[in-house]
Amino acid sequence: MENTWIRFLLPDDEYKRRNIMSYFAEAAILQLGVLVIMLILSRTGLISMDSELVLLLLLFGSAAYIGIRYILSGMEYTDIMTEKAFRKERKRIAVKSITFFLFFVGIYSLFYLFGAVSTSPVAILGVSILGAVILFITDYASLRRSYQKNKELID
Amino acid sequence: MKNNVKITRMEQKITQEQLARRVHVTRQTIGLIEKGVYNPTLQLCVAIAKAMGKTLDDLFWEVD
Repeated sequence: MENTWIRFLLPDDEYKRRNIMSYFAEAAILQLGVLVIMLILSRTGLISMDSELVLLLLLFGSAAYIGIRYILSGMEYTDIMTEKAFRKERKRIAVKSITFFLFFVGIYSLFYLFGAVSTSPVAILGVSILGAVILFITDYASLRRSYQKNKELID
Repeated sequence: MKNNVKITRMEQKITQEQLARRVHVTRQTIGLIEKGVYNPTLQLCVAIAKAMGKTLDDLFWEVD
């Protein structure tokens, strides 16, 4: 195991661990590059950006970069090697997304009923559907990439 | 990196899954090593060699 303090974030499998570490490193370098560009732009007065917005962009930008790299790497579903296993996992992903939708709507509805939030039910439904769809798409993309990769490696 | 992991594994009638479990990696990692797509660390090479009762030379040394 690599001698790093981010060990707790890394999986046991060596291949996965090394790849994820390189995604973290790439994201950090990109973040540094974006910061330098933003600093130059801000110093030259070309753009003026809200500092909180910059921080949020950097935060979500690097998280999205690592997430997308991980999904496209096909490392998530390491044991999906057959069509049958693929279909079974796809079903599980669909159930997970629907469960997320129902849970989200349920919790939000409770808050709405008790007056803790004033968002309209239509907006709640919209956000829940969007969240469930994004969850399904990302999970499905990862599953598909993993299956394609694993198919070529089977005994 | 070319290697003899797959040939040796098949000779010993071990599945990728079984080998993966013995050396604490995923089946995908074993598949990638066998294909020569992923170069394992020395630590993993040793673990695989031990699990198969072979030496590093037997599994990972290329002879022309």
